[in-house]
Amino acid sequence: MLKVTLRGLLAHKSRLAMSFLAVLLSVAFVTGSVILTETLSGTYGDGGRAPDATVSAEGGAGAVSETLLPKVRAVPGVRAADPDVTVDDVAVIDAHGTKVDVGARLSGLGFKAAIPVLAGNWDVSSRSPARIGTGRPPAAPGEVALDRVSAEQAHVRVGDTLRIVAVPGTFQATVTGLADFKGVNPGNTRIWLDLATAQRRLMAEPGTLTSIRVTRDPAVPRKVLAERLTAALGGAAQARPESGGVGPAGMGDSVGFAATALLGFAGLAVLVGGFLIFNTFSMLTAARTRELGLLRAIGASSRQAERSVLVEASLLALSGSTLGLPSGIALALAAKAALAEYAPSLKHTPLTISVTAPAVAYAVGLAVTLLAALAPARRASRVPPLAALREAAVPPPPARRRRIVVGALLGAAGAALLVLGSPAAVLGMVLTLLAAVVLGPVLLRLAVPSLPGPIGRLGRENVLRAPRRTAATAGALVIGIAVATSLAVSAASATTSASHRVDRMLGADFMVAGRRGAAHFGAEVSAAARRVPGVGGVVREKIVRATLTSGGRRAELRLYGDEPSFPRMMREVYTAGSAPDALTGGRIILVDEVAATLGVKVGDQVRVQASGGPPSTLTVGAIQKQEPAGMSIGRYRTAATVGLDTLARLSPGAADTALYIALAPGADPAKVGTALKAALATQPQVTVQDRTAYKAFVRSQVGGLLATVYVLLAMAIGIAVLGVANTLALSVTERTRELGLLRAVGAGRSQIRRLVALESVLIAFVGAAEGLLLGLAWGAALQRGPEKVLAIPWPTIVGIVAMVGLAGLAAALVPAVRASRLNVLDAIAAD
Amino acid sequence: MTNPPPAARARGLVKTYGRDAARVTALDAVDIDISRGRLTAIMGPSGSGKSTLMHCLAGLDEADAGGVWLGDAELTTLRERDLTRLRRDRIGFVFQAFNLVPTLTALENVTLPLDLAGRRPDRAWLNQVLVAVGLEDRLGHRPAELSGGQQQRVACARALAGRPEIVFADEPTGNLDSRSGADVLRLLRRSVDVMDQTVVMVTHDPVAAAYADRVVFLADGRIAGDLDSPTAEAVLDRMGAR
Repeated sequence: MLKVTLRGLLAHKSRLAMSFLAVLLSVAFVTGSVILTETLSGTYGDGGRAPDATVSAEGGAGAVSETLLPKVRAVPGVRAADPDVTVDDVAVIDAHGTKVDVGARLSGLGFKAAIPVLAGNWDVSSRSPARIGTGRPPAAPGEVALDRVSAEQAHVRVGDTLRIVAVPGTFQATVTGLADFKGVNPGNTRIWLDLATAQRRLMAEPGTLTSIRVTRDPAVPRKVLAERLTAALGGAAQARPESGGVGPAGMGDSVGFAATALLGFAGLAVLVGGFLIFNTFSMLTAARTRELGLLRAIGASSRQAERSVLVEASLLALSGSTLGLPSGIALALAAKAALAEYAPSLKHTPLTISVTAPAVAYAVGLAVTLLAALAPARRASRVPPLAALREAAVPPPPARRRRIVVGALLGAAGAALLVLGSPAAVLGMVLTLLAAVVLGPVLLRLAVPSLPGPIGRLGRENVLRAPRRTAATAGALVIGIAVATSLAVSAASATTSASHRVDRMLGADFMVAGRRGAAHFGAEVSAAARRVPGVGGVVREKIVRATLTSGGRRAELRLYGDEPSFPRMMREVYTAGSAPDALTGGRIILVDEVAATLGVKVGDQVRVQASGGPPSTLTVGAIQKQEPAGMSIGRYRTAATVGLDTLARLSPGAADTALYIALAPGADPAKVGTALKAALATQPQVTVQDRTAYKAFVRSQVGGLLATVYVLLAMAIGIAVLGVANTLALSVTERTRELGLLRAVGAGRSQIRRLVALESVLIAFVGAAEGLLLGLAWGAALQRGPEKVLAIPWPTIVGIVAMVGLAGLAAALVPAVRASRLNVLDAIAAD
Repeated sequence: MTNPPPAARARGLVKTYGRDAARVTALDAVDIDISRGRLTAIMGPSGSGKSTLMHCLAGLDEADAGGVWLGDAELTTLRERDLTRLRRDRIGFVFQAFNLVPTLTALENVTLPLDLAGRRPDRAWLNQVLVAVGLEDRLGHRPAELSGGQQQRVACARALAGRPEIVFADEPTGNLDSRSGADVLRLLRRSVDVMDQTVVMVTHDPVAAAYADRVVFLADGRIAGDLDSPTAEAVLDRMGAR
């Protein structure tokens, strides 16, 4: 039997080419994603050499005193302790007034968190994660080292002068050296100063460090060391094994997002690829009914018939996975090259290929192929010996009634869950997808339109002839389009609701803020803004990190400091207490979720430790309604707010991060806007936005999601085109005689080509229609909820339909030409 | 009396398959005239070239040498597109098996060549043809729901529906029992007698050949004689004599 299988496999090479391609593509996508994820997490992970332990202020925010250094060095098991100053709220500006920030473009891709610009002290020890490649390390005030990738991107050379805007103030420094990372470049723009300068220029309080990096004696385990350190330091600071949580924040979020997106693509590839493989094997089994019947007639058991299909599948899976692995590596390389446009440090980063990649490749390849081949194998085992004698393969009578009942139940349950909205909707999505798959063959007759003319009639009937096959072929498209459509709906809805929210909430006429992410600027900016004629009011805002604690519960968040008229500039909803009173009276405003986390209400007290300042206890003055998830209009959702004077006490060095500006009565907005821009032209790190520009800024934060939609769509359509081409190729082979007959009774070549193209486009449109309906339902379900706006992106949907139509034509290209070239006589004579 | 011009004719028709040692001559300088308004049977043992002759006459196959004329059109000079149009508009076909498109109803199969040409069927004529094949009550059925004989009668109706100059039938009864076969043969006969249709039928069955006005015998790619107004016995004799 194995011999027959192998011979069969070799004899039907072209038939198998498609399922081979399906396995290969699925495996390539999954391994590509795994490799890229590993590579990225190496890049945006720990940045190379993590210390064995770090000593930092309690809660992770704030500073530790440098006087702790001798105490740390005295702890047994500590081999070395290095002072570390690293802050992530600086802006670096070159001599032309341009910001130096390699992470900016990646931040703009829609990753959750911005990739910060880091500034710190040059570690003179051998344990430094970087070394100077050109020039020399910074050693005196007014000297700075810059990472090489940033320097190359911004064309900064040794000897150039940089302006550095830091929390305590702006200063200038000359570049003395360019640094290379010993390990993987973490992807930030990074500058180094000598320790004393870093402390003076970057830290709010003299004599403080952000942390102490500890290297251990290898005989002492990390955990033990951390425990000893914490005990030795008492309450002054805490020690943690490795660098977890203390390093520059935001990186983990970015990686997490990229990895999730990639795995999402991979999952889709596996799902769609599985469909393709299933489809091919179903068709192969149907086409081989006669052969299998003959084998059964001469004594092969039904088990042997089943095994023959499964062995075929395994061989296919092995070869597909083996070739899929290098294809995945190639895919990862291509994706890395594309990403390097946004994150230049990736150019110098090799791919990380661990044992996971091949393991995943073979696991996915084998599992998906065997699962997909299982049902066709079952069917093969049920081929009766008599089938060998029959004229043509007769499809088994479909179990329509059961199909309809099961499908309808699944669909109803799924729809009910979708109507319930958010958390249940996810299960609803799965159930409705299953319902679509089960009901697909039954729904075809409704979905395929009646078309005029003999070709239209024939095309429609041909598509309906093997409903399961058509439905399965369209199924690959259904999934991809449904996912892409629901994402497009989510993105459009998020954009629209953000615009609405900006209209409703933004009371200010202008905003001054960072071009991307946070900017820090001194009081001179607000002073300059106030001097512009026509400006009625200016509200300053600062942001710092803070840790809030209350009765053993804690929350790490951002803390806004705002001037008292802030509520007029940004109309947040307050559910309890009085915001203006809180801002003037030294009390704190919490969002409802954080208040619940801390278990506090208006009038209760919370302990606040802001970065770079002393701890303090504040009374809760008001509760603010949290912005819905994914609908933030550029503000931190969980952030707490205090008066600007209170923040100055909590974090003495904090600089302004935003200004809200209102027009004086009767002032011309256009004139004031132009004047503001002129007045702030000397501050390259900030930008003046009017309401429209602010909306565009909010929209741009959704842009990354849309890019994801298009990649998904292109991928799904690409794979589906293969599936449709596959189905058509096989059905053209099966229908050789019929096509010959058509040609004999007078169908021209162009009519045959049109027939095949029509079938292809019909299959594609059925898939698109089902996918769009599902996707719209999913999108609508995800948008259910208070304050959510449902927006249908019609241009995107029209675009999807057009793309699918083109894809259908593309899929028909080869089969149609082949069908039209059939020799009439050969076709009639074919058996 | 002067003979009317033939419906189709071939002169010096040569067709070979394969090459070198495996070379087979299917047609060896065949001359034939197909008379208008008559039923001509082409007979011969397997491999005699009778199917090849029909395919060449019908423009389905290309001859290596010689010429084929349908009326005044020389098929051998026509291009693929014109041949297709000629098959569609001027020729009707009945094959041995697999005559019908399984996804279309009987009536849709009958009008298929007209539909492909974008022509409106002549209602009166179509009705006459449908009455003649006697399947008025089965027109909405798919081929799978018809018996073999019924399927062949539908195929005949399709061949006749477009009023072609000539109908080619390739072993039309080859897959049928004798009774269904007789139905089909009577139908072809009637089409000649009543509708003045020209029919060419390839067969190896003397009983079928007996329905013809004339039988042309083919052997080893050559015309081996012909017989007017044949009977089954005469055909058998003639074949036995060889």
